[in-house]
Amino acid sequence: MITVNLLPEEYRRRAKSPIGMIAAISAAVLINTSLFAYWGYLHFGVSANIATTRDVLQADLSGLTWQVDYHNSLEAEIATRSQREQTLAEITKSRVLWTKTMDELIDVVQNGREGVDHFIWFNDLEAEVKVDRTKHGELQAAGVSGAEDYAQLANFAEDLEDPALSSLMDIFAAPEPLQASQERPDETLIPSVTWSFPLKMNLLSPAERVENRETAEGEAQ
Amino acid sequence: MNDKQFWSVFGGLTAALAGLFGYLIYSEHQSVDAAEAEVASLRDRISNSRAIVRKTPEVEQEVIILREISDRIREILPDTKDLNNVIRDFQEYMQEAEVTSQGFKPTSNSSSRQRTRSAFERVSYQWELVGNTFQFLEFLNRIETHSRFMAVSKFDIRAANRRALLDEGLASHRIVLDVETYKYVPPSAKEGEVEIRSYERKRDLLSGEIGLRRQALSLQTYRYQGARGRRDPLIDPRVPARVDDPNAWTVQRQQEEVDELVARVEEAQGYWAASNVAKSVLERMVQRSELEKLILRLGEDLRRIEDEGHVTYRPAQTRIDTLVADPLDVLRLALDKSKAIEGPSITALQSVGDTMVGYIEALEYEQALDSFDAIEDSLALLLDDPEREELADWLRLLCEEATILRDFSAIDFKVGGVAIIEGLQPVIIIDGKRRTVGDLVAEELVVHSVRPNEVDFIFRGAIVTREF
Repeated sequence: MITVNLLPEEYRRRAKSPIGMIAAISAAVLINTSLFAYWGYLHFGVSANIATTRDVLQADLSGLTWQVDYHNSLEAEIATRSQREQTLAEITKSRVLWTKTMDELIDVVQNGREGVDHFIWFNDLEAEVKVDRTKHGELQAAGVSGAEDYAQLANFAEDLEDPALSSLMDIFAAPEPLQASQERPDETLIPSVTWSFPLKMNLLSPAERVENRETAEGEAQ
Repeated sequence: MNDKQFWSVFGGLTAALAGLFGYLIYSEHQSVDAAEAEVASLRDRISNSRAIVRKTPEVEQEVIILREISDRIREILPDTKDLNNVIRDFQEYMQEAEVTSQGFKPTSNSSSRQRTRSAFERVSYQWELVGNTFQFLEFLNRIETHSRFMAVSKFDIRAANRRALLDEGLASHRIVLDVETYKYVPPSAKEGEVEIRSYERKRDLLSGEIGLRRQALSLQTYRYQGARGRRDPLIDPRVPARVDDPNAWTVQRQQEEVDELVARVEEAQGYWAASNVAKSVLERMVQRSELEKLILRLGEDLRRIEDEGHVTYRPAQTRIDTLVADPLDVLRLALDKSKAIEGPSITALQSVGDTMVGYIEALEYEQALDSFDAIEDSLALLLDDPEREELADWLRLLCEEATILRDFSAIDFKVGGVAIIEGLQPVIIIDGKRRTVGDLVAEELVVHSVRPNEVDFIFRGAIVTREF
């Protein structure tokens, strides 16, 4: 439909400024300009600033990377090399110096005075180190006491445990309880009466042996 | 376009633009957040890296120390079994310790230790030996002080029986010994070395720490000092009953006495060996002189012990026969032979003479006489050799000369002055007394002639001069 204004010029309504439209357009422009400006701030300000910081940090990190690699290589070398050292420590810990042990046992045997303390010898002697959680080995011997007085066996057992005579108790637990049986007397020999007895001493654990040894060394110093 | 359309289009465009910008802003925020997270992550990584790098000097030190002690570790725990050398070493140790081997064999590697620990492989051998307890300990000590780690995991000693002891005189215990050693098996084959800058300088700075760590690697060892007069605890020490002699020596005493004699025979053998390789004649003479004295004393002690009949224990008797009496006879014979055949050679005599002349010229008369003493006894062997006897006479003359000069130089007197006047006897003041030619100054010391700065004396038939 077409509307035609037929009123004379002087009766027609005067054209007015479109304030609403202007306001609406202005508002639209303002909002979009603000949004654009904010985006520009984010993009060219904040984001660029962060990118610069990141580049600087990247450069820093690159400078450190070879040093870290070098450090890691050294650590790897330590791991490989120290494994052998640890292995060595592990196997040496469980070693028993039998020369020392036997030498001290001989001292204890020798310490006895015939007819007074004890007069002991062995028909056989066996020693073994075991790598087991509960059994660590033992020293066993078929002993003979050359005396009529079987109480001398107690003297020998006491001497075995006497730290002034030997350090046998640093590696062994106390000897097992005494038992003995009298042999048939041989009148052609002095002393003619002998008692046979089993000697058994169990080895302490490697950790206990090391601890006792270190304590003894500490006391000696 | 009417108003309605205009507003529709306008509203749509505005909203689209706003939406676009909103989206851009949202995206930007996302990317900023991501970048910030990345920055934070970088900061963390840098911080961590710096923390790691700060520890690098310590790690470097540890690597340098480990590298420097690695040779020692390899020595103790080698990469190879090297069993052939171990067997060679064992033979050498057995010879030194005087135990005899009756066999050896590798033992099973399937121990619990082998199964549970993969870093090293156990290598085990079992030996069957014969010897006494002290010989066994000597051998054991050598194993336990070997540069390579070795451990005795088991041994079993069966004592020699009394009958065998009486028959053989020596304790031959039967011993079964299990010895373990280890081969290191690196978990990974590569053990690459990183290049460390200024390695030598850093190593030098760490020398103290390296020394300590090397020391800490030392295996615990024991210094075995031999039998030291103790009895073998695996020998029945009872003595035969002797009712006739309450003072009879115990077996222990008998063994100790025999041990001492054996040690002295070994000392004598040492002198004999040393005299045979002596670099100079004098040294040889000294060694043989000591040997003669020792043989004499040993012979006397042996005779005394045998006469008194103290050694009744058969093993001790056998040891006296085999380790004392027989070697002593051998030594005596060898010494006598060497004396009879050799005596000092011409070169030896000349050398001693030259030495004595040198000492006399240096006014060291005692040393000259010591040189002569070392050879004097053997000069009697040269009677049948005119050439060497001539040199022997020369040496005796030098000895006499050195004796006179030594004694003359020991006489102390003071010369106060001399008066020499032509046509008159010269006069000399000795110890404040006036003497002239022919006067006795001290025992055997007669003035022979006087000159302005020296005086000659006749002393034991020789003319000697004293300057003043």
